[in-house]
Amino acid sequence: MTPLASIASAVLSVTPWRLERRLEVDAKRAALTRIGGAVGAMVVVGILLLLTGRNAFLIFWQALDAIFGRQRGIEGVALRAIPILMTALGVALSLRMKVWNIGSDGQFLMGALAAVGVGIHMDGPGWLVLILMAAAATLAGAAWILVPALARAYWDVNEIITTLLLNFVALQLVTWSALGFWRDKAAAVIQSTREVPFTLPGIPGANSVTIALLVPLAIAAVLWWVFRSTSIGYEIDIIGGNPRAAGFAGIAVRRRILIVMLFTGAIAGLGGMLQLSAPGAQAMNAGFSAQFGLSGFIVAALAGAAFWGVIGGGLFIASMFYAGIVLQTKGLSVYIIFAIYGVILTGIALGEIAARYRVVRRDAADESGATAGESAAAPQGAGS
Amino acid sequence: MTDKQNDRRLILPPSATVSRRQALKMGVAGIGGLAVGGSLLAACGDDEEAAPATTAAPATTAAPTTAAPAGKESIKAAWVYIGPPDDNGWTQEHDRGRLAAQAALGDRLETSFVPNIGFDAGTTETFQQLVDDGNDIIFANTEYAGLLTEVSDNAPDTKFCEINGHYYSDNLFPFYLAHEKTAYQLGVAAGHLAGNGRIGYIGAFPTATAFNDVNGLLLGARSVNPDATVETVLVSTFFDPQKAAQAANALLDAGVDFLFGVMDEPTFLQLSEEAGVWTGYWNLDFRSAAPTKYVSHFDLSEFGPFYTEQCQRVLDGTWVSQDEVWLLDTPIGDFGPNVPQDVQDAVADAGAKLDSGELHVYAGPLNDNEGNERLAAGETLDSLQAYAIDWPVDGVTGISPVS
Repeated sequence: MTPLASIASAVLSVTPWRLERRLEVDAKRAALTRIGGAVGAMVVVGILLLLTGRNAFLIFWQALDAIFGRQRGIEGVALRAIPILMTALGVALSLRMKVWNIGSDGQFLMGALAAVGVGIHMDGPGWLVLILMAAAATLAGAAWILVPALARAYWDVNEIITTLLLNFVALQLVTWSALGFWRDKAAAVIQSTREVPFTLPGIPGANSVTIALLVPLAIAAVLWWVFRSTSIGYEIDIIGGNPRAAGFAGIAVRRRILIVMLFTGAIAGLGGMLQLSAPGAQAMNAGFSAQFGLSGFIVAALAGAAFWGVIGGGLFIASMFYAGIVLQTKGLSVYIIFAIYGVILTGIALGEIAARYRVVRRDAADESGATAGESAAAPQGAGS
Repeated sequence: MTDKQNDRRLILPPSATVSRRQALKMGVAGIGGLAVGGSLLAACGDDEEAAPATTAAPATTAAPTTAAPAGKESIKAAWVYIGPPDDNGWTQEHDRGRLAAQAALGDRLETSFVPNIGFDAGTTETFQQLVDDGNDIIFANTEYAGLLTEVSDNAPDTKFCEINGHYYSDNLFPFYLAHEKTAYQLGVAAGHLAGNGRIGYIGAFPTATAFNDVNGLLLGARSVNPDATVETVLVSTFFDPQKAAQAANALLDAGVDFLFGVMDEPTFLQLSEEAGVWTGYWNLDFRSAAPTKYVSHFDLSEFGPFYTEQCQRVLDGTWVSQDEVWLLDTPIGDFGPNVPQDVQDAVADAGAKLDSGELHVYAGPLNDNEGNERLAAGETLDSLQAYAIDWPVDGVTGISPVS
C-alpha cells in the first residue's frame, strides 16, 4: 500500500466503509480517475482562492492564456517538460520492477556535467561533438547509479538511500566544476562553467524548442513496445510482481535488476545533455537542475509507471510549473503557487488510489477479508 | 546575419586578455542560427521604437518636461529577486529601493516584483514573461548572466539593469556597490577591536564580492595592525542558517576576534554575541541580533535613488546604457553602542581619505595569497577595476585566486 492509500485506509477505519483493492486495474478507469483527481483539485484550489479574496477565474484564465494563448507558452511548457520527462521515464522504468531510483537528479546532473566536459574541450563538427556529448551523458548517468545498482542487485542494499545520497554528491561536483576546474575564467565572477558552443538543431517553426523534445517521446515509444511485445519487458514486470517467483521461473533476477537500473540512470543522464540545449542553459551552475529529478519521480509515481501516462503527466506538470512562473509575474505569491501545486498533486494521487481501490461497506464477515484482500497483492496491471 | 540584435560585451577582470567566450560565441552562430532565427523574426515584428537609444545621446538628467519627444506618460518597472522581499537582508534592501522609486514617481510608475527566482532555465521564462507584460525596465537583484541575456538580447525595447552583472549592451548594463571601501573601513574597526588580529569571514562564492570583502577587511585591519589576518569560510549559499552556523562556530572555535559575513540572515551575529566576539552585517542595521558586540554594516540605501533615477530616465526618454558597471556609494552604517569613539573616529578618517583619493584600498606593492605580485609599488586599483578583481591579498586564507 502506498503511504497515501494507508492514510486513506486509516481515515476510513472509523467509518462503516473500507478500501478494497480492485483485482484488475482498468487502464481507461486509471486515466479517468487521475484526470478527475486533477480537475477536482483545481476546483478546490479555485474555491480556496475565492475564499481568500482572489479572483480565481482571472487566475485560471491568465494561466491558460499564458500556456495556450501564444506559441511562446507552448514552447515554454515543452522546454520545461523535457528534463522532467527524461527523469520520469528513467524512474518509471525502474518502478516496473519495484526499484525506487530516487537519484535521478544526480544522474541528470552527472550526465549534463559529462556533456559539458566534452562540449567545452572538443573541437570538431557540431554534429559529432553533440553525438559524443550525448554518449558521454548517457554513460555518466549509468555510471552514477552503478554502485547502488550493484549493491541492490547482488547484496540487497536498499537503493532508496544509496541513490538519494548520491544526489548531494553530484550537486557538490557540479558546484566544484562551476567554481573550480571548468569555471569560466574569462568572466571570473560568473559562477558557472564555460559555455558549450553547440546546441541541438531547432524544430522547424519553433523559436526555442530543439529536437531534444523528440527524445523522450521516442524513448517512451520504445519502452512501451518493449513492455508490450517482448519477453524482456514481461520478465521485468514479473520481477516487479514477485522477485522470488521470477527467480523460480528461471529469470536472472539480479542481472535484470542491474541492467534496468543502469538504463534508468542512462536515461536521466541523457536528459542532462538535452537540457543543455534549453535557452540560456549552455553552461552549468549549481542551479542547473531545478529539482527535475524530484518532479520526474512524482510524475512516474503518479503515472503508475505507465510510459504514455508519464508523457501525459509530465506535460501536465510542466504546464503547471510554467503557469506558476507566469502567475508569479502577475503578482501571485510563490507560496500560494506552491500550495496550489501541492493540492493538485494530492488530487492526482487520490485519483491514482481510486484507480486501484474501491470503497466498500464494511460488514462483520468482512473484517478478516479486508486484510486478506490486501495481502493477496493481486499483480498490479501497470500497463495503462 | 548576426545571432543577436544587440552587440553584447563582457566586463573582464584585469588579468584576462582574450575572451574565449566571445570566440566561442562566433562559433555557435552557425548552429544557433536555425534556432534563433525564428525568435529574431518574432522580436522584429513590433519594432516601431528604437528611438531612445539613438536620440538620447547625452545622459544629462533632463528636467522632467512632459513635452520631451521620446518621453512617456507612465511606465512599468519590474524587479526580479533572488530571495523573498522580507529576508532581513539583501532582497529587503532592494525592495525598499523599489518602494522608494514608487513613492518618488507616484502614478507615473507602476512597479511589480517576482521573488525567489533561482538559476535554472525557468528563470529565462520569468524575464520573457515580464517583457511580454510590457515592462519598460527590469531590474535583477542578482547576476543571472546568460539566463537574462538570453531574453535581453532579443528584447531591444526593454531596458535591463543587472546587479553585479558583467554583460552590457544597448539595453543592458550592470550596477553594483563600491563596497571594497566599506569593507576597508570595517577592517579599520576590526584592526582596532580584534585583540589577536584574527578576522573571520563567512562568504558564499569565490567571486569579486568575496574578494573585495576579504581584501578590504584585511587591508583596513593591517593599516592598524600589520599582523592582522582574515580567515575565510565559503558556504556556497547566501541563505542557509544551518551552514552559516557551522561556519560561524568553526571560525569562533578557531579563535577569531571579529566575525563578518555576506549571509542574508543574522545567525552568525547571534553566535558572535554569545561568544563575545565583535561582529557586523552586510545589508542593513541588524544590531538587534548582537546587542553588545555589534560594530556596523554596509549602508545600501543608495538603491532607492538609483532605481528612481533609472525609471525617471525611461520616463524622460533619456535612458542610455553604460559600457561599464554603475557603482553606487556604499557608506558604512551607524556604529553599535559599544564601539569606542576613537575607533569610530579612525573609521571616519579612513573613509574621508578614501573618498578624497588620498588613500586607496588597493595600493601596491601587493601580493596575492599564493605569493604572486599583483600590484607593483605605486600601482593602485580604482573601484571599477576592483569590481572585476579575482584574487585575495596575502594574509587572507581559505580562498584562492581564480586566475
